[in-house]
Amino acid sequence: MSLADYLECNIDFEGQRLAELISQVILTISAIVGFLYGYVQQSLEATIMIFGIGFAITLLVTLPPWPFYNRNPVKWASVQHEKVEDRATSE
Amino acid sequence: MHNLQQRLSATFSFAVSALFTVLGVVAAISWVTGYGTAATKVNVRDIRVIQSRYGPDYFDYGRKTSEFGMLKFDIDADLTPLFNWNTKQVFVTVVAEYETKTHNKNQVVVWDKIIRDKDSAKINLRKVSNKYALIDFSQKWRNQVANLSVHWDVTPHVGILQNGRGDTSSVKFTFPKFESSGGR
Amino acid sequence: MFEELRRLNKRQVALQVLNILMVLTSALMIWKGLALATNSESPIVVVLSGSMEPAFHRGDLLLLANPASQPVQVGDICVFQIPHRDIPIVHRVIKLHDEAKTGKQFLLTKGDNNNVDDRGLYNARQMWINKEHVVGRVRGFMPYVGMVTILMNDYPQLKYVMLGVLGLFVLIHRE
Repeated sequence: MSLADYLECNIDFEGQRLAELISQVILTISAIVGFLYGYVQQSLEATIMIFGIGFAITLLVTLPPWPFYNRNPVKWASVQHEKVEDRATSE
Repeated sequence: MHNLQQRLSATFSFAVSALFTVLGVVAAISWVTGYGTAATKVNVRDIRVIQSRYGPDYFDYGRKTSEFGMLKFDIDADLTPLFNWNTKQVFVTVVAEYETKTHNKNQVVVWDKIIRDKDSAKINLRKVSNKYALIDFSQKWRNQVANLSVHWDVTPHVGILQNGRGDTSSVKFTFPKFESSGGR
Repeated sequence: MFEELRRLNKRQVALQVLNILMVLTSALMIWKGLALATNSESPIVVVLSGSMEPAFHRGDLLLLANPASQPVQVGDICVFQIPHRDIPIVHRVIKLHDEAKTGKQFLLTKGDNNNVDDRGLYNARQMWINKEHVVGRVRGFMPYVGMVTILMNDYPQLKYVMLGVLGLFVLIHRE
């Protein structure tokens, strides 16, 4: 892979759907759990902390291109080389 | 969601929306339930009137005949009910209110205190002097009757600011006429 | 990105400009609507100084309201603007005198974190401020959100960088 490809951390379409789902689930759950725990403990700091941890976990799970995001690679059509003489005569 | 930058920005914006929703719910709850009331009691120990002058910022008080009230009071307050998860600080004030012939509403803060957590929310002080100058707009106290009461102002971590006063704690007192001790 | 730039022609640019104008005018409508609802000229302000700590820190966002039906009380936190001074000040009212005949209000303010009242900040010989100096009373509070404004004030180059980047994005993205 070239450096640009490596930095882009691409994942395939199925992986993208999975990543989006995972991030939304983790963030929503940490928001709800944080809210409930903070309410019971009467501590807003606890809510923010729990949400912060959830955010960090989300980044860790969705940002790097883990292998389970690349299980359905896109099947690109094979490159077809046109014959150079045909192109020259048709112009 | 194809590359790193897109995933980062999508996750970040969802996280911000979720956080704002949670904070919005917290603020809404505080708005609806309020902060409750506190038990307060204030008692006037001593009230004197002296003549003095201030300056130079206090242009009007530059004359030597401005009358200042010197007040000593006791205060007992239990402000712990006001502290919940959304309370950032409680600002407690002791306020003197009165009416004069020219001014129908006068409110003067005599003493204040900032309380930042539940542990320091109990106040029991004796013979407290007024922190701020007790001077009327006309700079004279003419046997004025005034009402001393305790007010509080809650600053939340997020949401609407709410205030209240201890109605059962107000106490009336009268300013004595200024006695000059040796002619003009 | 450069492919998008090549695809731009006059109609695309005009459409983008129209989109930008729509967004700007919607924002202006919301802002003016809020000002009308709260009866305050500038209903959202950012705290610029530390004179109200520990309640408000630099970068906090305040929602103001100035309802005519609720008169100013002592202990209210007001945002006021002294004539000939351009920065509005957010401090608490510690003295209040209402004149019966004229209905004029005489207010004295002080920051929680200051030792003295604000007479040093008023104009020379001014002992009180009045209702017309008050922009609004603080009703709501949101921490940290206004930090962006503070950063832009402290580092003006950041303002130009952000405007430039925003302008570029808006021109070339067609959503």
